[in-house]
Amino acid sequence: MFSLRKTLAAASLLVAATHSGAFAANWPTTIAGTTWTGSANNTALTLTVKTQGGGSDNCATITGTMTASGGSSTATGYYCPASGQVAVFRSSGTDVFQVFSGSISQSPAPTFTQFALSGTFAQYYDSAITGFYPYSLLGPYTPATFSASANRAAVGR
Amino acid sequence: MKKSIVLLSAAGLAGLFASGSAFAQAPASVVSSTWNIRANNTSNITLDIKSQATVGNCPSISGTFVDGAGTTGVVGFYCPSTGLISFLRTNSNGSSAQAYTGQVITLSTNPTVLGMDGTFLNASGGANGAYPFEGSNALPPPPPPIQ
Repeated sequence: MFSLRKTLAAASLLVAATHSGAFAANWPTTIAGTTWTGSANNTALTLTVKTQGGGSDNCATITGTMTASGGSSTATGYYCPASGQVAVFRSSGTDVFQVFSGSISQSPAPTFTQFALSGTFAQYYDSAITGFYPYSLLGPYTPATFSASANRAAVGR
Repeated sequence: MKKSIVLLSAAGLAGLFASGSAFAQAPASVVSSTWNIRANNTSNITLDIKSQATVGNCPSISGTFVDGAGTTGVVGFYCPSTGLISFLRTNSNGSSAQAYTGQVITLSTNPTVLGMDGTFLNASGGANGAYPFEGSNALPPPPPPIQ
């Protein structure tokens, strides 16, 4: 009976270790200086995060730009390193007309694929297009803790 | 055997439709509705939706949002087919640091009472993050009688 308990305990640990692997990595501590490209409702979009700092203890303020075919607009919001949550308020002048909420994928190591940022954005003001839409962006290859040269070697570039 | 299967299928469909009535419907309009809102455990907030456009799948809405800090404008949209609602609290210059997204329902026991709950994103800096909110257009309960 005792050996059966030990066997079951060992099996449980093995299962836990195996299943925790997909969630073992962390989110990057900062996304300042990163560029994210992809599409929002099937329209090409680039998010450039220029600064990160201040804000609350859990979610730091970020600033940057969003660029689509219509031009560049201001992006302000926050990033939560402990959860990967991102919110971006996109504005033209001072008028906010889109709000993006989403999540960044965890550290891509050891598979060395890119970080992903995806979620939903809300479109405001024009009743013909107001509503919720999906967006999906790809960002840097490495977390900030990795050296760029090591990453280039790892992905064979 | 085949007849039994047909009867069972009909009974199953009847049960499906019967159970569907337990789900409340989203109202066609949220205009002229005044909501008592509690956001991140802060109460005494009033959302007044004054207009709703008549075009689009999710027509634009506008109104005011009143809390202890004062009155701000509201712009957003409401999707009658799904009950989804989203709005920005806007400052006088059009800037915004709070976006609310939620679900509007009617109470199955009283279709005149609307409920709303969801999440708001605060990007004002000091308290960045996502927080819960909920609200109802029902009047608050009367105060207890004076003894």
